[in-house]
Amino acid sequence: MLTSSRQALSTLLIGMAAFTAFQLIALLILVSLLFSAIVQERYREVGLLRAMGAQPNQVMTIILAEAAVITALGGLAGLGFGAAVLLTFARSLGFYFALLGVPFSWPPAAVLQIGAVLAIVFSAVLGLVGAFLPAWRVRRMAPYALIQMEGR
Amino acid sequence: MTLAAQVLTKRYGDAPGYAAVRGVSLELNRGEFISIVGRSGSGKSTLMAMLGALTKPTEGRLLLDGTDVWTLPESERATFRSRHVGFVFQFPSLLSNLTAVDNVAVPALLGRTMEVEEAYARAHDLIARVDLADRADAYPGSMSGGEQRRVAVARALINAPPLLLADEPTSDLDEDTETDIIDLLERLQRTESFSLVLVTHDLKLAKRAQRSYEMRQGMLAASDLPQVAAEPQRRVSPARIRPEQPAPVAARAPIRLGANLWGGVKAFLIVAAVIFAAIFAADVGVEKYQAMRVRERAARVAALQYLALNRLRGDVQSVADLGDGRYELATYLENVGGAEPIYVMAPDMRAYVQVGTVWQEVPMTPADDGVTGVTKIERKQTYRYRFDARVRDFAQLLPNYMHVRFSGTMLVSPSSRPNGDVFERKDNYYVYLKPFDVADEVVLKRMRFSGKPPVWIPMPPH
Repeated sequence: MLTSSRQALSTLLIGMAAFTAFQLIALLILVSLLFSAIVQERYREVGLLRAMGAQPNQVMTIILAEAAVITALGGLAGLGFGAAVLLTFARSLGFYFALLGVPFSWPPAAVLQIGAVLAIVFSAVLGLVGAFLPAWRVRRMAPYALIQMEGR
Repeated sequence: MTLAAQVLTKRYGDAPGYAAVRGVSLELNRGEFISIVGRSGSGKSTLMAMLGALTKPTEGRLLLDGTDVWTLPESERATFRSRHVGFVFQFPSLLSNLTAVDNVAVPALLGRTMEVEEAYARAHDLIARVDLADRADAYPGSMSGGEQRRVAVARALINAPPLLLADEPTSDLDEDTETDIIDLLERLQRTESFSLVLVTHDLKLAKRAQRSYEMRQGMLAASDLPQVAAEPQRRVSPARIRPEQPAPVAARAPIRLGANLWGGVKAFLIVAAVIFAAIFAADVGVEKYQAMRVRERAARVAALQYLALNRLRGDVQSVADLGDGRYELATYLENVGGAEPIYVMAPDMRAYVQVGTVWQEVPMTPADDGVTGVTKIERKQTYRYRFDARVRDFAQLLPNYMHVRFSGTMLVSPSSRPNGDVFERKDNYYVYLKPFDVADEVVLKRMRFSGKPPVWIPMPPH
């Protein structure tokens, strides 16, 4: 019984990990599309910065930093909401099981902390990777072309 | 500094393409004021973009003190734009999420041409010189078109470039404001000594330049416009006259670029922290309440368990032989805990006889006059069942005796109308039972008893 439960949980864990991986890939595409649109909307702004003397790498850094900060903040918010959902689970189904004598036990604090840090890092990396292509593309464009492309 | 454009040509589209600018040559020396007039689409803006190294000419060279700017790596070209050229565009070009002074400081911060404090000091100075000292903290959205254009002029001059390219800087402004801007450019040119290339539609303004050119179908030709003294053509109201000497730097802490961004991040973090602090505070309260409920529940279950297992004693009272393999079992339950009654749902009793190594169930029913349903046990309660134990090849742990197990399941509660406080108790009683078809003499051959062999012999629980 215990072994079969453990096997079922292992399969479930693998399934969830695979689902998360697919979600990350989908999010990567989404972030890339989103930042393509955001960068495209700001062609004139980027062109102006280049006309003012911004180095191509500075422009790229600004775009990547913005993406990383936004997705990291999103990750932070997601972490908070995830914790809230976990708490809700612990205080509902976990409480029910505790009443039946099966205590709800949290994973070790170290695991939770490492998971939280990884989640934030993954979020920031997602932003960096997702925005890299649009940032690289805009890095290679001539400033005047960027200024002229506004509204096209 | 000398900037020379040599036979600049710009084509768009696939070869041979449309030539927006054709073979334009121009030399600019420090402090010159040049104007270029021409109809829309004549290539003025493209020429300005090429002069500022914003777009690569299809043919020709742009020489800065003899060096072709387009042979330099892009990073050095960016440095060229930062240190040698200032732009004033024909469209509103301020960054809308930055204040006026931030906008002016941006090129210095991007190009790292000076320290941040110095950049802001010069930005405040330039803002004052374009007569917008009181609007330094204003955002572009709250400024008029003329104010925005003056901020753009100040921004173009932050790095003290030797060349200022003004591409129709007054295209969408009224005549008075237009003249103000050109007056401003002229005045600043005198104090900052930069070369000024002004593209304009207005012939009157163009005449104020030292040299005038006209663009026609991409080609640049010297204009025959009579030059006029570089004096304002209209008397400027006293309020618009700016001091020639640099204005004193505003005596306050410089506004740092990015303050809004970090302000926004801080606001986000504060709001998130408040929300999650509220959630986690609520969770601490709920957790304490639930822990109390769990402890109460555990205490109730322990009490119930004690009641059902320790205060209620049960065992076999007797087994009577009814003949022909039928027997009557009497079990009892005794409340040994005191005056408090215990309520029991009559045990569901089953009988098993060991055959080999397995237990074989035999038919068993409550006796006709037996107790059924819920009973209140205050002292001792007897339950009777009848069963049929005609089994062949039974295991003989004692010679000629069957090994019999009676299993009873009952629900125990301290209440007659239980509401969750019910305990399910399972009892097993073991006895040796003399088969109906074995004579006493046969039994006595292998075992000794003081009298007749008993019908049943109790066993300890196991």
